[in-house]
Amino acid sequence: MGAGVEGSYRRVVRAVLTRRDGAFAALLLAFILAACLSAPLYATLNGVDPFSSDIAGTTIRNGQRVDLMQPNDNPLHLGLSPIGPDWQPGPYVLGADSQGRDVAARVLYGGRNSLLIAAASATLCLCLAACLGICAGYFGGWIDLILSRILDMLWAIPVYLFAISLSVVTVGHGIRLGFITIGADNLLIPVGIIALVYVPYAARPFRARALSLSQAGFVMAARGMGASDFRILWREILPGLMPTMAVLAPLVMALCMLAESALSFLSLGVQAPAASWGTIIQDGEGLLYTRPVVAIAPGVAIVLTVLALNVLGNALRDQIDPKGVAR
Amino acid sequence: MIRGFASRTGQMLLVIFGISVLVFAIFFATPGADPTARIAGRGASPQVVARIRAEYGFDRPLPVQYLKMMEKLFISRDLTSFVNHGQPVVPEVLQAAPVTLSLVLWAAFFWVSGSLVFGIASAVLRDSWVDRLLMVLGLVGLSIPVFWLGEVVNLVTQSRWHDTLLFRWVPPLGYVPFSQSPFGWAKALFLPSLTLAVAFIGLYARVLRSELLTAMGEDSIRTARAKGAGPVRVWLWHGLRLSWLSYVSLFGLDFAQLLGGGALLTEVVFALPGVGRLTYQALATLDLPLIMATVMYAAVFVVVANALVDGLYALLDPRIREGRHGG
Repeated sequence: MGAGVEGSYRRVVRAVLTRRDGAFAALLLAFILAACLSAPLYATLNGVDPFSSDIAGTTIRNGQRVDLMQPNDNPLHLGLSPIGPDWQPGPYVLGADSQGRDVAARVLYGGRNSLLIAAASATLCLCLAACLGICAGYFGGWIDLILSRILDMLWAIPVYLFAISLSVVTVGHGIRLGFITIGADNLLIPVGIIALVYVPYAARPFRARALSLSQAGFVMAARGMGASDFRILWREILPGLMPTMAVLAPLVMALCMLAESALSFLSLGVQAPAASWGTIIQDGEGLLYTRPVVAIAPGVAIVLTVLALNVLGNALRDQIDPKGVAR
Repeated sequence: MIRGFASRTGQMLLVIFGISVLVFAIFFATPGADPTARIAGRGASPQVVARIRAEYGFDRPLPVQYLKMMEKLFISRDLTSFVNHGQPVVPEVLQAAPVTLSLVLWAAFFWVSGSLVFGIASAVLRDSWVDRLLMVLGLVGLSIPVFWLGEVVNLVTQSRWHDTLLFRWVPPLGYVPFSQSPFGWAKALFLPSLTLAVAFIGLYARVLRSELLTAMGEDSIRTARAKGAGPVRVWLWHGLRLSWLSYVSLFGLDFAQLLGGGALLTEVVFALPGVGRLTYQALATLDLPLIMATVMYAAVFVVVANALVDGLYALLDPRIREGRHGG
């Protein structure tokens, strides 16, 4: 069976990449990923440090050395504003933020955290959801009843409020579980919170799929041959869930990315001095009317990434699951 | 019928109980954190800490603490915020509720009317460029973080183009009560609710389109066509009748979630003093009683709303009423 499954995966990937929308989404994602991975390249080439404030710093514009903090345009020249974008390759291409840090470098570095958290929490969320969904769908009976009720219950709490509640008790304190201590600034905390919040959403399609698979002929046959529950789950049910997993992965990652940006915007996600696209938007809020690019640039990055993930998810769904079972 | 009602109510009460235990556990039983210090807020005196410990029974077992908290929240309703100089929490939440309700009602109006128009248009014009454009726009709408969209809207209408003819009418950020000036109320809520509705318009238009296209394959539609019903009647009457059930159930869930605090980000960005903004302000001071109160009220509200939607469903669809749902 191994070779056949390999072949069908390759066929799906090829089918998605030859569709116009699939190719567009994959290219866009690859571009964003490459840009964020090359963040240190931008920072070292231009000699900027995106994590320490540099209010007294200077840069070079049109061959002249200028201050990063410029006097305001108002008639009395009261107050200072960070330098704006010049759209020329080089340092401070998108200008500086209120701490005199290079916005472009921060967006690139922040993107690494945003992508990492979204990918990690989507993975964790899908694994948890698959486990719960399999148990509920395969074993049925009271296990299903209890698990489904608990998931329904979790789903009744508005997603962002749930995430906020979890963040509020962990932010600034971290978690201590016996001898394991997770620090307050550890990225595992937002990853865990975001993953947990979307488990009820993702578990439902897994449960439905496991339920229908558990009544399929080949599972009956395996059971008739005396296979244990564990062997059936591992060898028969789990491979059957892979299409659901493939369709859900980009869609859940898109949701996770939006949740991460929202939490970070509320200063409950990534903690300073680390950055993510959400924290940069929050930094830019105070500069919205003077230097809007600080808030706009990371937002555009989020929109493009989430859009690409959604398009990819839809293309995968059309190829794998055209009747829309996994939704 | 009556037995069904009783069992539904029983289930609902069970879910409410489960949620209240869960929320309580998140706030007061998270490992590695003393809830007393959190309720007292930052830098509270030892006397205050001791008083809180006695008042909430934090020196007693967890079930006693749970009962005390529920009594304070729902029966005596005298839960006070220690950070905020002993301000009672419950009236504050109730005072903010009308603002959230107004915002969400307006948003619901926009997203229902918008998604009906776009969904029907792209189903009728399936596979034309209009359909493709609308569906791409829907995906873009789904991919925009609502708080960022709000900031961009503010930038355009409050600052950059505020003095142009198009946006001169836009009032400064904030809320105007309906009783004070109905017209001002509508003006103040127009842009915030439209911003909030964008993602939902995208999602609901896509759902409606796919439901309508599925419905068009049904026998009853063919019969209607054969009987000579015109396209308007076929789509708007027969088509919508077949596809509105899932639309309505989705609507019920989202509407309740938004009222329960899902509109937090929109309220924060547009400075609307609703329940979500109240929670946000409590976040800044880590005002735990207030946050817990809003989360608890939100969850209870969502559960009750879901039960109502379920009940309405059962009244409308005989298959569910007879308990033959799911198959």
